[in-house]
Amino acid sequence: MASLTAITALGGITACDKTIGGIRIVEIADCCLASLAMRRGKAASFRKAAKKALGTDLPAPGQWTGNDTHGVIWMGPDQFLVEAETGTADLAGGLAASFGGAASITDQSDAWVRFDITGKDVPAMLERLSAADTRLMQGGAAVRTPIHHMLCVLVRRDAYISFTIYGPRASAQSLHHALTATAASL
Amino acid sequence: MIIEHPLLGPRDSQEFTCLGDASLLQRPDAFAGDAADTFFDYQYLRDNPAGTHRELWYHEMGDRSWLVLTRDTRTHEILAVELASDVVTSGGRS
Repeated sequence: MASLTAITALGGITACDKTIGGIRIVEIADCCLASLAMRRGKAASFRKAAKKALGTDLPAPGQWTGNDTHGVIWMGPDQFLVEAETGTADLAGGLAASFGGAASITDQSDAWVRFDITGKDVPAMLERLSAADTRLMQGGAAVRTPIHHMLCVLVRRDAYISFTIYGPRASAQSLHHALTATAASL
Repeated sequence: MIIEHPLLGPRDSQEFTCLGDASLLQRPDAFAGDAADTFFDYQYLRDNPAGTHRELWYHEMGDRSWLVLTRDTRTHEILAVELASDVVTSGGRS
């Protein structure tokens, strides 16, 4: 087989890491994702399997929960996005085995681009990018909201000014441009 | 305009798309004898009230849920917002 070199969502060999003023924007390339949707009438077995497979409670609407191995983002009613570090052997396959017929699971690793942004000016940057009230988001809050007409997911990881932005991978350059241009304009 | 999402709280209306009259949720029985007539009504005929109106909104740039909004067409005041899935299941459908 040909020797192939993996590239990141932005097309680089290594992930992009930029600091602009008081904001650091890091492309996170080593993250596995899978969507998790409850099947109709399977609420009890779904919640039981989730607790066992993910080791964390499912997040309430507009929330994120996580531990050392998995993060779980609320995406919609009975729908979640599961995060794990690359190296997690077959995330979607493992979840499918754990949930059996209680959930529909799809690998999403190559569907999204992830940027982690940190710095004291992050709230000022986000309020220019999004109509969501990001200043009121507490640690553990997650919202799906448009940024420059791209449907993104904003996750506030903890009490510090540290956000993750997921956006459509096919628009990775556009989203990165939106973030860097806004950071530069502050 | 701000829409009070039943799960997520106040959200900007730019995240939503209006899909029209909420009567679309009451799809007629396709196997009834008068299906041709009831589907004609369902597809083409709409009430156009000056006052309280129920309509479907889709949270397209958000959690992708369908909502039933009760809105006063004279003032644009939003009187109630419900999840369409709740409206349908409370009407006896699964």
